[in-house]
Amino acid sequence: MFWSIFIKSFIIMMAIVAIGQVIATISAKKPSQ
Amino acid sequence: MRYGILAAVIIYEIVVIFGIGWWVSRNHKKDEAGAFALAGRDLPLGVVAATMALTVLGTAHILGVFEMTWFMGASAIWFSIAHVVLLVVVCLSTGLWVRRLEVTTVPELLERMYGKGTRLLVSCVMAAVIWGILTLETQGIGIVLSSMTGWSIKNGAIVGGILGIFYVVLAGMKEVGWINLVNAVIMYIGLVLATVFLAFKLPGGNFDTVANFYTDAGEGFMLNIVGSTEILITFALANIVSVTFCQGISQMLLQTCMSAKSEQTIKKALWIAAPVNGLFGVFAVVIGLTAKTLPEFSALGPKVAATTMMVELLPGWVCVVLLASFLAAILSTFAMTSLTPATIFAVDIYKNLFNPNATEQQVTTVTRIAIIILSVIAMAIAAFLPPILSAINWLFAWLVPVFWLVVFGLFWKRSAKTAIATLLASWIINSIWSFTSLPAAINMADIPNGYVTLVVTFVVAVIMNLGGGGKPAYFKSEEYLLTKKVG
Repeated sequence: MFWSIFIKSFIIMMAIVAIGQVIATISAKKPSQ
Repeated sequence: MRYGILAAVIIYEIVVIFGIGWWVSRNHKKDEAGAFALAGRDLPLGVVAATMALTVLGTAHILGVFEMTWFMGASAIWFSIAHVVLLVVVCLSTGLWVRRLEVTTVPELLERMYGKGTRLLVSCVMAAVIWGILTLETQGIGIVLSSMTGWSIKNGAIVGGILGIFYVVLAGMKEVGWINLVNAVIMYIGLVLATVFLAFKLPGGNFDTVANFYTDAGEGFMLNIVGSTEILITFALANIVSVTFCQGISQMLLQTCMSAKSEQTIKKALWIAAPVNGLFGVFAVVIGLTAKTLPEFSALGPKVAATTMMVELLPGWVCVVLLASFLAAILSTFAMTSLTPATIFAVDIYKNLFNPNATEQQVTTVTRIAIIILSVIAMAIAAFLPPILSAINWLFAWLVPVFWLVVFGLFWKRSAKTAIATLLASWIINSIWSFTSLPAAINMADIPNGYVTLVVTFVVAVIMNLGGGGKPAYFKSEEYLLTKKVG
């Protein structure tokens, strides 16, 4: 039970961080920035 | 009374706080600009990451998550996931902007975009909101100490408050940062040890019996972190909106970004701060789920079952490390929630309004005095145990319009009239929503204040920006481009 909750939560959290990083990188490359 | 646990934890806190405080203040450059409040804008990666993670990890992550898990099961983890979203937003946008513009406070940024009136309004409200959280954390210290040692909540709040004052008052931001780094390590040692020893105490030496309890009772959903669609909309999304748009612009979190060595430091800190903050919730959820399955603790109810279980089942020395771990989480938030409103008072009120020629030393002295006064009042109020947690929803919603005014002002349009109208409209509606029967009368009592202020902010600010005049976005303005060239 512990590892199931730990691994699923970790994946969701790091996916959110990675998505945020991708969005930030794309918007930084836009000419308006 | 468990005097051994109490004495060991207090001695640990005194050694860490005074040891690091003395070491940091020895190398403290007192006359350097922003030395006390912003650590000379020179905090390294590890310190920034630990401070960001621990600043938004406090009482609600411990006692709040234990209680939420009791009712909704593992999906209470969305409270922690909401804080990960917050850290992403801060480390990749608002935190970078305040570091780039080299402001000392968020209200100072608002003055650059919207003028002195907006700065003053936001200073008063932001300091008050953060101070409300300080009162909550002071209560939290008292409750955690009381439930794990048998000491009175009043004594716990007073001694915890004094430790919290020394956590910050000796050398300011730099002291808080380095103590946080040590405490982040202790926090995880405590959590891992407590979880391992708890598992050993269960049949089979693992958590299988806990899982079986819920499955057999037909409550398998309690083990599912995604939960139902209803939980995702009413709990997960509501938390993400409220936490991100309030804390995402709060001085409480942004003062660490202002103190970072560079923008790059903040971006890198995200990859450490997010898991350090977020995974705390996993341990809290597992402890909360376990407490409900054991009849002797389940009978105590959601408020004290988990903490009582830990004290009863774990060896004394593990309890000491776990209590130190919980105090690390709460005291770090206490320190930042006392330092940041004190900084707003010293910079935005004292220096800005009363003494524009104040030296760095004078500002530091005023900040120190404000830290002590704000903390002492919080301790006095917390000892009477008012229902502060129920006010958090209302309290957080006050900063939602500030977040969007900063975004609009930096990237779209700036108008003082729009800013003040948006702030006043959102704040009035927020108070009406909490203190009148209007939400019930229009059948919308379940809608949280964060959603309501978000809608009002967008309606007022967008209509006024589209309809009226105003200066161009700050990042496209001549004053910004000029400072960039000079820099």
